Amino acid sequence: MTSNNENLDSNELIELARNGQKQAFTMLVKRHYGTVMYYLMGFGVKKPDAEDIAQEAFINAFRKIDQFRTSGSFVGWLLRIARNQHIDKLRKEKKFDTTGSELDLLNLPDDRTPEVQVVSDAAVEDLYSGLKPQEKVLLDLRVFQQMSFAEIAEALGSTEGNARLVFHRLIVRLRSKFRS
Amino acid sequence: MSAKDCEKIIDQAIEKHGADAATQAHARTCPKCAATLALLALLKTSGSPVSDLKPSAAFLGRIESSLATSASEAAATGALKSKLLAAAIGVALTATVAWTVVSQSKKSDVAKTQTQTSQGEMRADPDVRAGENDAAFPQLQLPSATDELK
Repeated sequence: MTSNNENLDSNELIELARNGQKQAFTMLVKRHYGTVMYYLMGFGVKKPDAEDIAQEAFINAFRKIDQFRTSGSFVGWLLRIARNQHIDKLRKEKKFDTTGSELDLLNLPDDRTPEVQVVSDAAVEDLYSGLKPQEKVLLDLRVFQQMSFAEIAEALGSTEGNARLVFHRLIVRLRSKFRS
Repeated sequence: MSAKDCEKIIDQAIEKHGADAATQAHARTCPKCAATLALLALLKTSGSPVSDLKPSAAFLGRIESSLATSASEAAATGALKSKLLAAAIGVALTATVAWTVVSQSKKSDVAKTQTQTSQGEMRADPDVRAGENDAAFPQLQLPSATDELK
């Protein structure tokens, strides 16, 4: 069953998950785990906490999967759930600051956890090493999930212009790295 | 071509799963675009930058057990809903039957009461006297005992 699910696209997996097939949803978890984890770590959340939030986000997504419209982006929907889960956690811990709700992708702090820094630094030859978690998510959403800048901005809680600008700066940076 | 046009070419190359003929023709004359298209091709073959983080078996196990719990909760909720629905239908049916029986018995009681009342009324009617309407009915003429002797 699992090997069959590996060949299915996201919409087919979502349809199977809607019919209660848990293996199909597990496949979706495997596919989008990295995006959700890097997204949460981009907020400065440490890996174990990010895993807890990601777990809750995936479980919530399974419970609400009937509410997801297949015309939209599944990973974008998933990231919104993860962000809400993260905000809920911060509210419970009374750490949520409502003054700056919009994420500024241009001024992201290098808040990589030591574990992520170790992974990044170990792969010096890797083109992706040195990228901030949110930059990795942005690259994933744009190049691999082929989401529009409007969808990315909605998923990341930013503006379309901000997402576009950061993506093109990122491409320029990667290009110069690639050339060298 | 301006930097804006080069940006558009990047977008097109991403959204169309590769560069079309016009883009490729431009890329041959623009070293920046050529490098970008080569970079995108490399990125696609390298895989997503987020794919280095994989869920552990323990994480997947926790997710699967939670999914099983939420699925059984959903099934229990569904079963409870159907039980409640069945109970509601049962109650409604019982109430309808009971109401029908009660109303029927009430009707027959009323009819009986009316009959008894009318009989009672007839008995109580002081204008009606026994044998008053006798002439209206045919009378059976029985032979008297003296007729045989005649």
